[in-house]
Order: sequence, then C-alpha cells, then structure tokens
Amino acid sequence: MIIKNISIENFRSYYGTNSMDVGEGLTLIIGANGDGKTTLFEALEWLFDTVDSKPKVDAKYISKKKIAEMMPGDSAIVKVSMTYECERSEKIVEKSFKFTKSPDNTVSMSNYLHCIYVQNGSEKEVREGDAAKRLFDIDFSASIRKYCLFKGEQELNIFNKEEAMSYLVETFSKIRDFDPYIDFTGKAQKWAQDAHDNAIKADKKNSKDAERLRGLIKNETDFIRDKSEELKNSQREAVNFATLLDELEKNKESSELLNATNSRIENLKERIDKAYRNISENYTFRLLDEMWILMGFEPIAREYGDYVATLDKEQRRMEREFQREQGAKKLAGKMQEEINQGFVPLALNIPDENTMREMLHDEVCKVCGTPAPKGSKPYNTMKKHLEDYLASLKDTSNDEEEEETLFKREFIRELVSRYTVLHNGMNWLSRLPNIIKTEIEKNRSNHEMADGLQAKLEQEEEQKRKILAQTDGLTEEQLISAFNNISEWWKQKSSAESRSDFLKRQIDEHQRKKEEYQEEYSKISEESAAATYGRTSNAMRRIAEAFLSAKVRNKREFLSQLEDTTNKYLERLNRGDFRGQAHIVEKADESAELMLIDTDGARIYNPNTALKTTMYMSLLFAVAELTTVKHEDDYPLIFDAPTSSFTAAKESDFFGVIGEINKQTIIVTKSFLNENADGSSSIDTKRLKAIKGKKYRIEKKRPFDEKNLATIETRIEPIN
Amino acid sequence: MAIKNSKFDSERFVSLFELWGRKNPSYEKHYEDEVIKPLTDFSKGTNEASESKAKVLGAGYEALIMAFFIGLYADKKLALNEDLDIKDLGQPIQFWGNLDSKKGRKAYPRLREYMFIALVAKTPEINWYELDKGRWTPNETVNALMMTMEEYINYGLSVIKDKMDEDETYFMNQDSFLNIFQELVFFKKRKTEDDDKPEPLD
Repeated sequence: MIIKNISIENFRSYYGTNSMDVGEGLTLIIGANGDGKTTLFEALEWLFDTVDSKPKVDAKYISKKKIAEMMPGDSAIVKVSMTYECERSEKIVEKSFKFTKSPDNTVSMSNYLHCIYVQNGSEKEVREGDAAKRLFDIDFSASIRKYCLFKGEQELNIFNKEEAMSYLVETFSKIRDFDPYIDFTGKAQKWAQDAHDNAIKADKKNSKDAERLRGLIKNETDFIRDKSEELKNSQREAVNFATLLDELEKNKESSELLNATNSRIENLKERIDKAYRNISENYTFRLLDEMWILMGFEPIAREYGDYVATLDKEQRRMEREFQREQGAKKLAGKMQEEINQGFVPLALNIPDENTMREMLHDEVCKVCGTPAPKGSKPYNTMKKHLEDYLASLKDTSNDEEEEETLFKREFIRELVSRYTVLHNGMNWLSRLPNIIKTEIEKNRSNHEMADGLQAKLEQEEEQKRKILAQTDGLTEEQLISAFNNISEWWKQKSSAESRSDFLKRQIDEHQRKKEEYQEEYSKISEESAAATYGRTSNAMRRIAEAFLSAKVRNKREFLSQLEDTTNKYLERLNRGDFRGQAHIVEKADESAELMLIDTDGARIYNPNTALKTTMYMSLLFAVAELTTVKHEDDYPLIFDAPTSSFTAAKESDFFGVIGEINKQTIIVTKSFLNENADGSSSIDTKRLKAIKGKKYRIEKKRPFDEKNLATIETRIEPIN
Repeated sequence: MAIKNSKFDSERFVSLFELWGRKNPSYEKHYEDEVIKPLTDFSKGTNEASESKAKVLGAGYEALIMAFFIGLYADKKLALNEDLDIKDLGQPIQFWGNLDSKKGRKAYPRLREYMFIALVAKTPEINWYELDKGRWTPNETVNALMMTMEEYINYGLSVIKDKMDEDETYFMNQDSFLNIFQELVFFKKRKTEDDDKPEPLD
C-alpha cells in the first residue's frame, strides 16, 4: 500500500480543509511544538482504527475555531481521508461525522461515516461501515499496522510488547506454513499408532512385551510433559528476576563503574565458558571410544609379535624338514644343503629380484654386509639364489599340484599378517600412556583456570550488586536492605537458571529413552502383520519430528535474516559513526530482545539514545523490507518525532539516508527549525535542501490568541 | 588335485578372527543383575532400569569389555563356576563397538582386533601347528580363545562387583574405570621395574 494524499477537515486544530500529497519515499512534515504535529498523527490513528479502539465520534475531534464561527443551527463535518494505491487500484478511505451547533451553543454529533471509495474504471464504488473495515483490513492488514505508526522514541522498540516476537515471527516468517503438515503427520501418526497397537494386541506372542513397552513409553511421555511444564515455569521465573535486575541496570546506564564491571563480567564468563568447553572428562567413554583402554597393551602386543614370529619360524622349519624327509621334492632338494648346514634359508623371493641384481652388480651381500667379489663363494650363492628364484617363476603349477605339504591351512599366516597390521600401530600404543597423561593434565589445568576465573567472577558480581544498590540519598540501612534485595533476586535468578538447565538435560535424556522404546516397540513384531503398521507409525513419527524441527529452524533463519537486514540499515543510518552490531536474542519465554553488541560479542549496555533509536528504526525497516518480500506489497512507516535525541548533524545524516531508502516513510518532526526572536520559527532551508523527498511545514496561522483555542488554526504548506 | 583341495578347503576362507567374531562369551548369570544392568543400557526395557539414572556405559557388552581388560592387565583368569547359571548377551563379538545409533559416542570396531591379539598371546595351549596341519579344527581353536576370554571377563566382573559391593555409586565417577586401569597398568609396571633393580649392596 502506498499513501498518495492525506486530507484533514476540521479535525482539532486543522480548521477548514488541509491536504497534502505524499511522496513514495520520504515525506517530512516539519512543525514546532504546539503546531499540530501530534494532532496530524492522531488523525491518522483515528482513520486507521478498524476495531473502534478510539471513539467513533468525539467532540474533542472538532475544530474549536470552526464551532466558534458557526451560527446556531449551522452544521459542518469533521473528516479525515486518505487516498492510497493498493494492487494498482486507487482508493480513498474516509472517516467523517457531522456536527451541529445548537442555540445554547452546545454541539451535537451525527452521521458517522466510515467508507472506502474504489475507483473502478470510470465508476466509483463505495463500501461503507463493516464492508469498509473489512476492505481496509485487507489492504492494510492489522498485523502490519502494528509496525507502522510510532509516536516518539519510546515506542520504537517493538520487542517491548510481550507478544511482539511470536507475532512477528508467526506473521512474517514461513513457520505457519508448517502447521497443516505438523497437524496432519501428527494425526497420521496417531492413526498408524492405533492400528499398530490393535495389531499387536491381537498378537498373543508379543502382547506381554508390547504392554510393557507401551507402559514405558507412556511413563516417559508423562515425565517429559510434567518436566516441560516445570521448565517453562522455571524459565519464566528466571526471566522475571532478570527483568527486575535489568530494570535496575537501565537506571544506572550512565554509571561508568557499572559498565566497566559489566564488561569484566562478560569477559570472565566467556573465558570460563571456554575453559569448560575445553574440558572433556568422560573418561569411561574415552577408554572405549578413543581406545584408551589399550594403555597397557604394548607389552601384550610385543608378546604376540614374538609368539607369532616363533610360530612362523618353527612352522617354516618344520615344513623344510618335512620336505627334506619327503626327499624328492624339488624345492626341498634345492634347500637340502642349507638345511644340512643347520639354518633355515630365506624364502626365494627375499630379498626381491631388484635387490638381488643390485647386490650382484655391487659385488656385496647387503643382507650381511660382506663383500662378494665375482667368483667368490658368497657371490656364487647369491647368483644361484637369483637363478633359483627366476626358475621358480617359470615353474608351472603342474609341479605344485603334485607337491605335498605338511601344513594344509594358513592360520599361522593369518596371525602373522595380523601382526604386520598391529606393528604399524605400535608407535601409537607406546605413546598412548603419555597421550592420556597429557589429556588428564590439560583437563586439570582447565579446571583450575575455570575455578580461578569463577572466583573472580563472583567478586565482580558482588561489586555489581553493590553498584546497583547505590542510589543517592540512601541511609546506610536502606543501602544494606537494597543490597540484600538485589542479592536475593540474583540468587533466585541463578537458581532458576540452573534448575532450567538441569530440567533441559533431564528432558533430553528422557526424550532419547522414549525414542529408543518407540523404536523397540515398532520392531516388536517384525515377523507379523503388525510390523507394517509399526513401520508406518515410526515413519510418521519421524516425519512429524522433521516438520517440527524444520519449523524451529525456519524461525531461527527468519530471525537471523531479520538481524542481518537490521544491521544493513544500522550501518547506513550511522555511517562514519560508532554503531556496534544489532543482535536479536531469543529468550526462554519466547520473547526477544534487541541489543547492541561489540565485535567480540560483548553486550554494549549503554548505547546513547540516538544510537538506540537508529537501532530500533533499523529493525523496523528490516521488518518492513521482509514483509514487503512476503506480502509482495509495500506499506508506509509513519513516525512522530523519532529523532528528538539526535544532534543537528546526526539528524541531517539520518534524514539524508532515509531519503535514499526506497521506502515510503512519513516523519513528523520539529527538526530543521530555527527559533526567531518573536517566538516564531523559520525553516533552515540550507540544511533541508540536502534532504530528498517531499517536505511540508505545519504551522499555526498568526495571529492567534494564546489563551483561546478557538483562534488556533493549523495550516499545511509545502516547502519548495 | 586332492592336495590342493585340502589346502584350500572351505574352512580356509573363514579367518579365525571372523569365526571368533561370531561367538558370544558366556558369563555367570548373577553378574547380569549385579554388574551389567546397573552399569549399562542392557535390558533397558525392564521396569527397574526405566529409572532415569544415566548409565555409565552404553551397550551391555561394554561391561564385558571393561571386565576383559581388567582380567587381561591383572593377568588373572577365573574359571566360570559350572554349577551356576551361565548365559550370554546374545550379541556376537563382531558387533561390539559399532555403536551406530548412540548419540555423542564414537564407534571403536578396531578394539576387537586388539582383543583377538591378546587372546592369541594369552592362550598358549593352542597347538597352532596341529591346526594348520588340519588335525585341530578352527572351532576347537576358537573355543580355546573363548575360554581365555570368558575367564578374563569372569575375573574382571568379580573385581567390578567387589567395588560395587563396597560402594554402589563407585562407577558413577568418570575416573573410576580409568583409575582401575591406571592402577593395573602403571602400578604393575612400576612394581616390575622395582623388582628388576638389583638389591642394594649395603
């Protein structure tokens, strides 16, 4: 929706008819105090109200000047109308009522009218009353209007409203799209579950087991439900105490002492967290998962190695002996001489062919390091070994087929090959005791560090409570009592938080157990007809869980997108100035907080009001941008005096940027005015010139009687 | 051809490690209630185990692995009492340490190889030559390995039970098993080193 024109007739100080065209980007309406800025804003609030939260007709809406000039019996109307474009069609929404002056100078009101004129070709259609309300709600939905009109700087933090976060997420993210699926898969799972239950009940063989598992699943479900309820209460309690402490903190925002303490606390917390994250003490699992249990295995591995080597050597010796005894076998024959010499020769392929050739070439036996000049005995032995090897390659398996061996199986070989694999890990086995020692030492030192930091943190928190308790003019007794109160809140908050953590862990653990029981239950009758229902029920449960987790993920993604977009605007609105980073924190009670953080993630507790305002406005622009994407339709943002805490230079920059943002924004402000000696004010045209957009001046028409409201008349004039 | 067949008979294609992996070590049944159920998720369906107590170990076989290594490092075997009820977990060794579905845990299938190696080293009564000659069956061999394994486990279970009899919550502490192993491995090592030192002359 884009506003084209706003027209106001006899509404409070707006005597007669005043009208202004509104630009598609920034429209600045400038007026001094009492010139009718807020009245303009109220006129729009009245016009936009479709739930009658404001009176439909009210004498306070009527221009006093108009009444004053009317004769008894005369009638006139109060009217606020707005021309807007929506889905390429132009419409005029209008609220009006008639007022009549009686002879006794009282005023009666009648003919209240709320209507929308729709231009349909050359025809103009009119919708009145409820039809007009309905149409306006479609064109400019109530959910969006919540994020449209803002009075002053205080209202800008949309997260101040308790339900704002869930409302924002539900309305503008896609998470609602998941609901029908979650609903359906939930129901489907129930149907499949019932069918499975019935099928199992009919299956006498498994009914006892099934009964037991159903009982267990029910117990877990009840437990999780109860604990979740308890968790909610405990989280709410933690938020309540945190809010009390936050309130105190807000009042001390300017305290440098508090800020320094806060930053030390944040820093300590981070370091403690890091120290704890580095601790991994689940030694029992590490004994298995990381095989620490092998800490004493090295001697056993060596024992195995020696044992297997002996077995292997003896087996080879026995095989040779056997071959010799068999007498006639080719290979044994070749080895006869060596066996007679009383040692077991190397296998023919050891050393390999290349090494053998190299040794012959170099005339050295590199196995024993003896020189072997050509023609010498060692040289001839090596040469024969190579020849035997080459001959063995040429031998066909025909010979082997006839070969008889002592050992028909190769289990000793399996043991040998297992040792070869083990041998590669031997280095790790010998280092393992040291690895474990180092890990334990690391954990111990991290513990010590965390404990030391924890003690420091407690001191700092004590200091913080003292600062919070200090208020000017308190007696010592009052100070002590305030300090005790704060300490009590602190204690309650901490205990609620740790209780929440404990409950969360408990719920997770039981959720895991429940899943295991459900898995077991679905498998209970694998061979029977119930199995199909079981599998279906299980699949449905998993699908339902997947939708639920997708919904959660989607919400996180939306918030992270919102945060990114907010930061984009924050950067633009604070160009060249310190701005930090906007961060949206989801709280346990599903509300949210928008805060500024430093590059190291530490919270900035006391941003100046102008920075805070730009942060909130950035969020509003971000909401507007994201909603535009979702609704494929734009809507305006209307602010009343959002920049009262800004310096003149900051204001110029700010409006400069807003003028460049492609977004319909109407800002009513007293900026750009210089006060004259006679109490009137004039526009600072030089500064204003730099701002893009439409500009209007609203001003009381002079002269007027300072004591008589009936002489007040606000005029809207364009500034060229 | 006959000779070749005998060397490559069907048994040869199944390694001893695989054969061993198909076995289930037995234990004295009373340890189930005394050690296995309190420490592991074994038989988690029963009512008494449905309490929310987090278990020190995961699957039931993890208690047997712990017991095995206690026996191994203590170098003590304890024969199973045949007069008592004997049973097994019904989960063959080949699945131990696979832990596919456990959250936050790592699988450790290689530990099985080390256990097998230890059993070979610690079962000297096996006549490996007779096995390769075909006069002993692989099954007889694996049964001998299993007996060593069960006797180590049986000793280890008795140690764990004694600790739990003294203090029911002994193993709730993450250090407990680690301490037992450190004691067995390093204390024993120190003792051996001390024994090896020559007696002082004075």
